[in-house]
Amino acid sequence: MRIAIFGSMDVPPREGLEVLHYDIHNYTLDGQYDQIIVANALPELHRNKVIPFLESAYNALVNRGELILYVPSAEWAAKQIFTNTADNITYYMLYGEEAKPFRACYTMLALRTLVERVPFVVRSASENILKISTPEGETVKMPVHAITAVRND
Amino acid sequence: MTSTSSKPIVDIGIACNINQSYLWWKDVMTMLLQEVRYGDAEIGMLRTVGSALPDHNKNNIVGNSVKRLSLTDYNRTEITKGFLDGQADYIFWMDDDTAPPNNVISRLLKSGRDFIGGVYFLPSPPHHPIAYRRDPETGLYAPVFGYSDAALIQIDSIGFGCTLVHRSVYEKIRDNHTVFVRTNGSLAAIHNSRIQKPIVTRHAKKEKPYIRAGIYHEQYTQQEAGDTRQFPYYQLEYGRTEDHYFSELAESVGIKPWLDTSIVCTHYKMKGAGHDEYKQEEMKAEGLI
Repeated sequence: MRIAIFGSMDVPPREGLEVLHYDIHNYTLDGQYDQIIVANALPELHRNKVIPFLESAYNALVNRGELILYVPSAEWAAKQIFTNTADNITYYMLYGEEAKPFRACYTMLALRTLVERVPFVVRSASENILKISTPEGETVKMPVHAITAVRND
Repeated sequence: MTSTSSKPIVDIGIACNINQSYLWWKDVMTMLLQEVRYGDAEIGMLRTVGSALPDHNKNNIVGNSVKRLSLTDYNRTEITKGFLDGQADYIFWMDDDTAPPNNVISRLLKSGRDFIGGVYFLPSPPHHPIAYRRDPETGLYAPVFGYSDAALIQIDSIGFGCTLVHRSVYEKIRDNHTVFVRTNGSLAAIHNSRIQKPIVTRHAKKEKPYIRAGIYHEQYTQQEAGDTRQFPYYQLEYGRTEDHYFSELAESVGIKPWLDTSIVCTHYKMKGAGHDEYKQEEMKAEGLI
């Protein structure tokens, strides 16, 4: 099994598993992958680069291969702002960090629409919690949209 | 038996007949026409109870024999028999007061899920979606609440006002269950893995159900060949609606329902209720208004 990962996420090693890490700003997807995981990296892209990226992922997957996306929940962050309870994680979800600024945030509807336009078949689209490490070494929980989509020729 | 058509055949099942608004007709006919002209499905039979047909067809059902005043579980079971005896690959269930959006069947088909529905809402406050998660401790169901628009999530039970089911779900349930007659004469489907032999068709001495050491005991006899009642896919019992019963049967053969919240229906009663009414309640609960 061959997995491509964008963003900082690890997959436990096991026999027969090949894991390749890529930078979402500078990548070449060579060959075919069974799974492509994009963890918290899509918001780093300018809007005009999102569809080309998703198309690259689609073309690099084997038939029935899976794209797994984790993207900070724009709805959750907006509610924090609206109720005046925003904290550091809220601002990170909206703006990213200095080294990796976010160019866009996504509601589930916007994200799913983009993915289906490529045209992936969305198999699940749910809320999830992603644990991320801060520069200070603290682990915080971040609400994310988690989408699993497949290439179905 | 499945179709040889390039598009899957989908029967339409309408088993509820309680409140019907004239507004329902326009939405549903538009949806069906859109599906026929532009959709990815071939519409098969319309299997409906009386009030979902024009007046001259009252008390009839296409491809079946359901009377309009029968209970919903009986209607669903009879409609299911007609569906399984026919050619269709899927059945799309709706009620005669739920109006699904255009292309609903094609969109549900595209998910590749065998048991999946869209969202329709309780017509009166709190307008929660008729889709549920079960508390593993109590076994009680609570409505799905506070979800993202456009989510596609696995749940524990779903109403049948906008739900697509593949025939394999029914076949798998039927093949993995045995039907018994309870002491009150009603039917119960028991998963084969939970049946200890011997299976009996008659008890020498009739005993009333009892509880011993916290375990309920009741005499069950296997349904006899001459009993013409259909497989009990749906049961209104214990104060629960028949959708819970079916969802639990499906879960027992490894199939849980999915909910696509990008598909939103209007639930007509005297006044239509939908996504806007639900959002008002959600925002109130979250202190946003």
